[in-house]
Amino acid sequence: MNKEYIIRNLKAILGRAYPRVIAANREYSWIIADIILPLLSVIAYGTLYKFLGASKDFLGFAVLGGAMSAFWLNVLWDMASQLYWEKMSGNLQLYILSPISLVSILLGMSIGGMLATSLRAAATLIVGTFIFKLDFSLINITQLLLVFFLTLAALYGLGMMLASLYLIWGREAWHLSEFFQEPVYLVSGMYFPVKFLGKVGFFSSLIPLTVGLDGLRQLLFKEGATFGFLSVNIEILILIILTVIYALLAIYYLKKMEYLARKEGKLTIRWE
Amino acid sequence: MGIIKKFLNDFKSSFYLGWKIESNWTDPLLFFIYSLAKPLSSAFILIFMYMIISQGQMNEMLPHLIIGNALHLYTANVLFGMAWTVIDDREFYETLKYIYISPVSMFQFLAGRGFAKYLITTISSFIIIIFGFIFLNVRFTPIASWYIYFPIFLFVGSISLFIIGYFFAGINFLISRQGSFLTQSAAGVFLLLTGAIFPIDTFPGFLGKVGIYIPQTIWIDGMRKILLGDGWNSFFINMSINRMLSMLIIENIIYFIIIFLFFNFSLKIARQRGLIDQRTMG
Repeated sequence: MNKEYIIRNLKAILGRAYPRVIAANREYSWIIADIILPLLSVIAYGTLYKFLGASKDFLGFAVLGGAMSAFWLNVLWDMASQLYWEKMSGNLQLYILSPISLVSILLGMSIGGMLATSLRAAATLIVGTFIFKLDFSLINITQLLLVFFLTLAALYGLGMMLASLYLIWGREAWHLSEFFQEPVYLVSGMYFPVKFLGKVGFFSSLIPLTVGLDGLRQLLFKEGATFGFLSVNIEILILIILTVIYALLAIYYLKKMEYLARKEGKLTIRWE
Repeated sequence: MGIIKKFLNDFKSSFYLGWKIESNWTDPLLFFIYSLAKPLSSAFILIFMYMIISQGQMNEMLPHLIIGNALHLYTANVLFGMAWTVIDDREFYETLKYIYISPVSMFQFLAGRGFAKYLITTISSFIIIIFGFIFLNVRFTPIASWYIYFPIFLFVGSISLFIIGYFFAGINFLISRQGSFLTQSAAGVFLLLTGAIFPIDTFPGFLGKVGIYIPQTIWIDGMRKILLGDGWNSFFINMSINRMLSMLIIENIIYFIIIFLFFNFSLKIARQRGLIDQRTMG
């Protein structure tokens, strides 16, 4: 791998991240949608908790879950489905023709997506905090940052892997993203501590959001540790393992997808 | 061909088209799982939240919650189904212009497409209620003559779903890609304001009163009253089911007149401004 190739790929990463951060912010309706839609769920679930007489920390769990759901939506709709959309719009063939690795394209999408979604998730968190007058009690900032960034790394690694799989699965991409929305909210304990799902929690730990969200709750709320699923250190370890596994699988499936698509001549076929 | 026969034919064709669009992308079993996964997951999130806070204790709130959520699915899906049809057919399939110039009325066409969603939602809602009945020990304590009121209320309430659906479809004729966001957020707003998962009185002041003027609020609380003996919104708590039914019918009529005029106006404006075949989503 020569220096020129590396620079070219770094430029590709920047180039693909650019529209995710800059262009996405040009369409105001998308910004509003990305903030308002999770916020509506947050208000609904928070109000339900309030109505049921839950403690403020549970309201906080719902708000944090709603904020983190923005990342899951971004991974599903803007990562996993992306290569399929690119095929539909005719860009995929250009990516493959260009002298760069497809991994750089996906990495650029991930970095851009993370940055843009972080702003939206922060907005949901701030407005949710304001509406429900939440009390945070920060336990350990180093662990908090570690859990947050590892969650994003593992989550976007999963997104990169799904991008290739979605392309193989073809026109069912839209439905798959729909399918993976609410069921993942349920099994990952997006709006309630995953501890209450019992053994299901171990299986859903394959979704980085499950352990990530649980760790963040433990580190941000007084009652977080009481309702914690695993200890934060174990959750950090799980997130590291998931990050590595999903990154490797993403590269493997990307190569496989490209081979299959070339072999079957499907790179330029729309609506399939 | 008689007017009624033509109406039924048009409705049947658009329903069939809607059904095919919804279901023909996969095999029936996968479609069945896909159709149930989303609504059932949403219902289970609420049930888990409830169970955690009540520490496993069941009280009268759970049946209210389950029925409210099951009925809200109709609001969300029919509203989304009808409004999304405009965007989907215009932006992705690019067939809205052909439907517009065909002898089918857009009004009937959207009703048929919405009805496909209505049927799919019926299965999900039914399963949620049955699940509550079998596994969560939800028991119905219906009012006298519930077998008369239930189908009437279900029918009148269902009409209100379609009326609201026309409103959002009308808006989507006039706007571009923002329609997708508007449609999704509308379902969220209805969840908050109609008392589906908590009483509307939980909101303070004006917000807690808006729901009274939304037909779905009366529908959901009326259905609770019919099946469980009482509702949970204080405004309707002492109201007889007959009065609630009258109120729902009156609101339906008022909304229908306003929305029918708005819908036709939207179509007219969309045609004048050349929006019927616009493409704004890539």
